Amino acid sequence: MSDEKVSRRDFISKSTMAASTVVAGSGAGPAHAQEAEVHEHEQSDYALRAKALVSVLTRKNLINPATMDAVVDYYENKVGPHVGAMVVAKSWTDPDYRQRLLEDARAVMREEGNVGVQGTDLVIVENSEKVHNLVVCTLCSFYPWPLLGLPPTWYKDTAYRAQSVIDPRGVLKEFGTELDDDVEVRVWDSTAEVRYLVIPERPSGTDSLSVDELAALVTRDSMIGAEKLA
Amino acid sequence: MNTIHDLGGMDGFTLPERDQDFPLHEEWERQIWGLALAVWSKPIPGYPGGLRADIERIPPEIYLNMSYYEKWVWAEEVAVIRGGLATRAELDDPDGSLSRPDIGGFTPATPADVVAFMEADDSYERPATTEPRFQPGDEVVVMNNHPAGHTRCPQYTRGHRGIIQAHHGVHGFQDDEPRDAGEQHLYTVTFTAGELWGDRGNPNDRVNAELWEYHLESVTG
Repeated sequence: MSDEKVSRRDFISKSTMAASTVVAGSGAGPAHAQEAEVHEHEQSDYALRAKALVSVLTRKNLINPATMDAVVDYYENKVGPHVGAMVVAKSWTDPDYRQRLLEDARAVMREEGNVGVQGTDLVIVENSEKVHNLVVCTLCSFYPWPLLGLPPTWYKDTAYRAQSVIDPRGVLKEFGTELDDDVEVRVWDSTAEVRYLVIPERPSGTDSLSVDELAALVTRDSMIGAEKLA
Repeated sequence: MNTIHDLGGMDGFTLPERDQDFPLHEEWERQIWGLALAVWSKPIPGYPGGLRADIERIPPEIYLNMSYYEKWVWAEEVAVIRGGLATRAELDDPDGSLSRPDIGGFTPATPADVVAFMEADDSYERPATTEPRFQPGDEVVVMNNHPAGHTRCPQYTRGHRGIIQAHHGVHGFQDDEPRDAGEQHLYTVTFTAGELWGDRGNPNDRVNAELWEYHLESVTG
C-alpha cells in the first residue's frame, strides 16, 4: 500500500513538472505579468527561494531574524496540542465546564486566556457513541492555533481537504477508525474565521486518573476528529 | 474563483499518512513561516504579506505539486514584488547589490511585537448594526454564483439547501466581490450528505460550513 502511494506521488510529481514547463514557456497575458515572472522560476528550489527572500528583506532591514525565531519558538515550545488536551481532560471530569464549552467555548477560553491569532472565535463539539465530528478546511488550512498549534501536514494535504466532506467515513477508515453505519458523522468545514475543536470520547478504564493524566491521553488528531482514543 | 484550492468533494487524491511531528521540518520552512507571521503582526508599508488570493492564483498544475510552505514562498514573493520592496533580480541574487525601498524609517516587528500579536484576542466578530436575516432552524439555499475573485463559498455548497445551525454575529466579509458588501452576519449552515452528494451521501451524515448572509437566500413555501 505505501509503495503504491510513493509511486503514484512520483507520477504526479513528474507529470506536473512537464505541465508547468508548458505554462512557463507559453507566456501569460499582461495582467498576469507578475505571476508569469514567478512561473519562470517555479522549478527552482523553494528552499533557496525562501532563504533568498529572507536574506533580501533582512538586508533591507524590513524584517528582524529574531522575530522569525520567536514565531517558531512560540508554536514549537509554548502553544500546541497540550493546551487543547487540558481543555478536553477538564471537560471529561467536570460536566458543568463541558456544558459551558459546548454553549460558548469562546467565552470560556477568554476567561482562561487561551485566545490568540487564528482561534479566538472557537466552537467546541463533542463526540459520543452515536456522533462523530471531523474538522477540515476544504479551501485552505484553517485550524485552532491557540489550542492545537500549527496544523499537521496531513491536515493541509490535498486529499484530506478534498475527501473529508464527500467521504468522511472513507477518510476515517483509511486513518484507522471504522464507524458503524448508524453513527452520525458531522463534518465541519472551516470556511470563515470560526475554528473547531472536538472533544473525543473518554477512553474506558480511566476513572481513577487525574486531569493531568487524562490530558496525557488526548492526542492532537483526536481533537480534529481524525481518530478515536483507545 | 473556481480553481484548485476549492477542493471539497473531489475524488482521486491519495491520503497521506498521519504524520505526528511538528509541521515545520526544514530551516527554510521555519523561516518562511516566521516571515509570514512577523509581517502579518506588523505589515511593512506597501506589503501586507502574502495573501490567500495569491495562493489561489497559482496555476492548478503547479499548485498540486507544491507543499504547503512552498505555496507561502510563492505568495510572499508575489507580494514583495507587487509591493515594490524587492525586484525579481534581487531575489535571484540575494547577495548582490540591493536598492533600498523608500518606506520612511520603518522598524520591523520585534520578537515582543510578534508574541503579543500571536497572543491577542483576534475575534473577527464586529458590532452588529443590522438585524440578522436568519435564525437557527431556518432553511436556506446557497446562492449559485461563481465570482472570478476570492470567495469563501465553496463550490460544493452552491445551489444547495441547508439549515441554519448557528449564528455567529457580524464578521468582516472576506470575498473580493461585491466590494460594497461590508460586514455581514455569519452563519453555520448544515447540509445533509444526501443533499450535497446524492446517493453517495450516507443518510446519517451532515456537512457544516460557515457562510455569510450575502451567500444565502431564504427558502419560501
